[in-house]
Amino acid sequence: MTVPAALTGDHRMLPLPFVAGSLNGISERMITSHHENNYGGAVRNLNRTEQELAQITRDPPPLLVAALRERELTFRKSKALHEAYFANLGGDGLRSGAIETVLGEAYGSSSRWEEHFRATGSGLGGGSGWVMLWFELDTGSLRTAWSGHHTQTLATGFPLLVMDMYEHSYQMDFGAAVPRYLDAFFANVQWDEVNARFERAQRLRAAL
Amino acid sequence: MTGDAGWILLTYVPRDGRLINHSASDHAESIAGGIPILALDMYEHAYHIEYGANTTAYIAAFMRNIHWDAVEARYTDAIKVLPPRSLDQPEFKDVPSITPEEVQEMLTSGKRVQIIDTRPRHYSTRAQDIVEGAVWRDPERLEEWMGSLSKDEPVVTFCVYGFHIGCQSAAALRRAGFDARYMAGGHYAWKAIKGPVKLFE
Repeated sequence: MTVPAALTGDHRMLPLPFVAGSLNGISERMITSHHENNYGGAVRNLNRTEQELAQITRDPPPLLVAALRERELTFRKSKALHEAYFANLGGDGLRSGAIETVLGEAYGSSSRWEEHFRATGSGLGGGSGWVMLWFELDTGSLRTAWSGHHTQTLATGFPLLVMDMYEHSYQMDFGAAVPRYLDAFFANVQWDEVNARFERAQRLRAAL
Repeated sequence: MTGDAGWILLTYVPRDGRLINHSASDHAESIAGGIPILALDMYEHAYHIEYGANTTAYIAAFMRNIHWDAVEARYTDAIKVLPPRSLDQPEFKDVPSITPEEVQEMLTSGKRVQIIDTRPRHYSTRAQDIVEGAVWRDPERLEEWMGSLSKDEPVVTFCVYGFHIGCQSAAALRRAGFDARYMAGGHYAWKAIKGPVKLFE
């Protein structure tokens, strides 16, 4: 087994996995800006940070290394979460399949889970962060988690559904009207992708 | 603030009497004891509707719209806040002190001076370094060693932080007729100005 070289600083953006103007209630202008500027910014900044880190010897002050490492984590996780976010949009929002069943088992009903997920998103309104549905690899549990910035993720979580609550996700179209964004997000969830991730996560846990 | 949200603040810090530009990554962050003078909201709600991700244009617009009279008024009010009061030790008000800088100047100019480290025994037993040019003497046994000092040269005493022991030692020596004073701030004030120290053996 081989692993890729570290700190290459040559990450490339993934294209949007749907036609930018095709979302239901999320404008082409906003999703394009989100993809180009916020996600693209994270990828470009990750590359720059990796290039800086690649230069490290024993000489630079520890505080400089610590600052670069903090930026690296921020941009790497921003990149990963944005890629998961865009890939779980572009659908018809109709929940189905295994994920529908297990959300019902875990939360009483999948609608009850959606209430939890939306309420967590509302709690981040006016600020920034992410709401994520995770499959926890060590326990096999489903977890709905909050994060106030890019770097707060579940230590053993495999992301199933990711919702961006940074204001760049909704201010341009909805201003401060968070409930309208939550409606638009759920109307566009690509549940086939979520089911595929759940399938991969289960296989990963089985292999551990 | 690439990839982040938060505030950029110009804050007056009375403790230091200085203005500081700093960022705050959420509403809860601030400089302890600081007074905000100018606040730039970098949450995306402040600019995303009109500027998208073009923060440069937003910041330029912000700068064009600053109400400097209000900022000036805040600053005028803020600088009235006094820094924390300095240590007042009325019991030692008659004992003269000397600053670490003045001691260093005496040493570098070759002036003869007797520098006595009177850090208490319970501290000196675990101390790692001592001021270059100083000798340690146990302040509890001052009566025993003060006879070895010369009354023709000034004496400087100091303790760890310059509060009590160094002052008491200087006061006792003065009562015995020595030209003694204490070094303000003690051993750590000396280290703070990067005065030379050596291994305490």
